[in-house]
Amino acid sequence: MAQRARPLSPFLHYRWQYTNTLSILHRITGVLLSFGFFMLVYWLAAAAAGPARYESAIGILGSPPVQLILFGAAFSFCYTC
Amino acid sequence: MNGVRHLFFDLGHGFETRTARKSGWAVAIGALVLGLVLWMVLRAGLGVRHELAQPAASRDRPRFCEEWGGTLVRPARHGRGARLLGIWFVAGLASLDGASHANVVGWLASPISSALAVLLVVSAAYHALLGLQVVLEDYVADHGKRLASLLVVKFALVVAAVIGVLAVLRIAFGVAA
Repeated sequence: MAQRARPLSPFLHYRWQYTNTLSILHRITGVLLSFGFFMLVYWLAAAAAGPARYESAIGILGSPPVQLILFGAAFSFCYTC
Repeated sequence: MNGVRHLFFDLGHGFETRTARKSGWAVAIGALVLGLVLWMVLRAGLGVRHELAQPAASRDRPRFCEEWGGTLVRPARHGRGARLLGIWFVAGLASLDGASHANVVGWLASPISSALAVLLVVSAAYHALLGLQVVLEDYVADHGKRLASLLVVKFALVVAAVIGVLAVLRIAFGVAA
């Protein structure tokens, strides 16, 4: 009995074109923006907790790994808007 | 930028393949450039002083569009409010003379700013919830894991939204001084 070919994922099946890039970028940027949302809330909560807490939060937000996420969020924000 | 592009689609402009392709690439590249600029502005505001890059590809296979027709004009159907409020927030933040505690609290304490900030937190959380739900439903195959991840994500977003709203209210009512 001949083995029937299993259906393939769209990206294996179809030629890549710009809409695919934009579509997947929309998803990636959306996920990155969600991280950005949590950063926003953290920042707001720190501001609401007073100057001392705010200063220490700025220190954490300014650290390189968090800055990388912030860059992702900034790019995502500009892409999605 | 893609949101603005879709607004033009909504108005009936830019559907020609050539135009849509050009605007698509313009949006992707423009966003990278603008994103870098915005990041620099935010860093300057926070008083911080880093860099990145990205690509794409093709082959001779049938086009997705040829089989799936117009079904691709799909995203950006909701979340316009979140976008506009996001632009307001970034512009307001950028116009502050440095994001010191006094400046930030002074800005957010005004009635209009605090109202818009509350709306921003709520609409961003809602938009993130809808978006992440679709992503999880598409990529998490196992039923149990999908349910669990959806629960975790929704719970986290709702908690964060409540924290964000309460933080803005604290600032608005002068508790954050």
